[in-house]
Amino acid sequence: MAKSKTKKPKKRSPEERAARRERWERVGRFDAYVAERERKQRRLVAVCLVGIAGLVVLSALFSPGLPKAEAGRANLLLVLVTGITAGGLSCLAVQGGLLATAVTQRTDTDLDAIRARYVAGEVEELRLPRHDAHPVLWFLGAKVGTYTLLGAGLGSLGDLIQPSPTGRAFLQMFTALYMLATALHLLRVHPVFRHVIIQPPRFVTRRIRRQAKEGGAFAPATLGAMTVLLPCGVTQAMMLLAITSGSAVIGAATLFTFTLATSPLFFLLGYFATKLGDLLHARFTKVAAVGIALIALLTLDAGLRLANSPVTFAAIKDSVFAGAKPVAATQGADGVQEAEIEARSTGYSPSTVSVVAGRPARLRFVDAGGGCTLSLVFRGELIAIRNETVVDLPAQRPGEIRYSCAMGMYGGRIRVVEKGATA
Amino acid sequence: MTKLKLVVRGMHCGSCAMSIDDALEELEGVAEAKTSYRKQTTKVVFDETRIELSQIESLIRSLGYEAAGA
Repeated sequence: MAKSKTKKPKKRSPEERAARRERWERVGRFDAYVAERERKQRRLVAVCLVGIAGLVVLSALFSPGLPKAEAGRANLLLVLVTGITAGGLSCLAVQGGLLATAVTQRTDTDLDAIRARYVAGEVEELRLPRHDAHPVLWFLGAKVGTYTLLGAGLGSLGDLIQPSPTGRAFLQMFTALYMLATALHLLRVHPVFRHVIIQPPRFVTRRIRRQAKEGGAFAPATLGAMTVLLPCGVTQAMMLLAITSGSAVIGAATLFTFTLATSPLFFLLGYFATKLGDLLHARFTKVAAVGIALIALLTLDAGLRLANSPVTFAAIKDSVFAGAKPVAATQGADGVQEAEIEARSTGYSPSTVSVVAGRPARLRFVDAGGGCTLSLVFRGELIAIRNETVVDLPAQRPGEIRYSCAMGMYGGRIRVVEKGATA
Repeated sequence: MTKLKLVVRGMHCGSCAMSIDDALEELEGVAEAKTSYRKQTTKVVFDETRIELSQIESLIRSLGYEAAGA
């Protein structure tokens, strides 16, 4: 049998052994330093997240003064909450990756180089270079600015393509269904909901990737602006909401609020290049999905009201709980029934007026500080309320006439009842 | 050149598809990569003499997704 040749370990001198020991100790110190730094960053991110969540809760609790005057403003708080949580979605990871490519960031390669120098004893001080916040801020600033302009454009487009209240009603209902599908996609209810996500064309994504790699002084801001070509599902839903607002101002406010709300978390993740992990991502996704679903339900309700549907949340609520008692029209001197309805910032008051069947009626809509309520949709006709606007109603058969503001957010009813009957 | 379709699991949105294409096309030997978030697939065109399928699958896994032959 052949003898196996085993190599005897080379004897090291005491100096060599000391140098090896020193290197291993340096490796240990460096790795411990990096681990502790990352732990501190994660703690800071967690504190900031708790702070952001606290701000959201506080603003929700103490915002009764937030008027629902302007159409769409009631949605902005929900848009804010969705944006803050949507900032944690995974498509953020790709935008963060673009940012990291374009700016001077500490990469794993740099970390390896610093580690090698420290372990070799070329560097004595154990310190990692600080991250530079300016590129991240430029990126986010350009992103928010571009999306705000986009929102204004989409709102204007919505104004152009919604010539009639009926058209707006159907667009709102379509938007609501799209947003519900987006929420169901986020919750991974069924693979079919993946189809609501619109993927940008390949030439767009190639261009963005090339821009990220080319770098340059203006790269962060350019990339931030180009993220408008990479909307994730949540952003696409918000863009549709901007269209349905039919207003450049509200469309701009919607996308401004949303992208600004995504910024704090994006900044933290981009600045620290910290991964929060799948658990937090899953939680953020669920909260964002709930936010989108709530906005979708509000939008659907508005669309149904605008379409004169008898089924709205207010109608369901009135059928379960006793709604406001109708106010009966008074008899005018000329024999015409009269009722005064105030267009307030919080809706129409009284919301339900009763008139007697078979007799004409005169409805006086009075400007009482209303916002979108001053744009009245009555029997398919758009009427602008100026100080006091009179709508003449010829004699009607028993039944109900519904009306709403032009956005469908606030509505009212005229109950036509038989003489002597209670409404 | 070999054309192959892989099933990719774990993508969250269309931007994930973009990051996969970006990473794959950086690999030497990969001529083209087309990832579809909707179909959850990646179509890769690569030179078998320069890169193996296992390296492509390994890269996709390193990005946090699962890859398997269609």
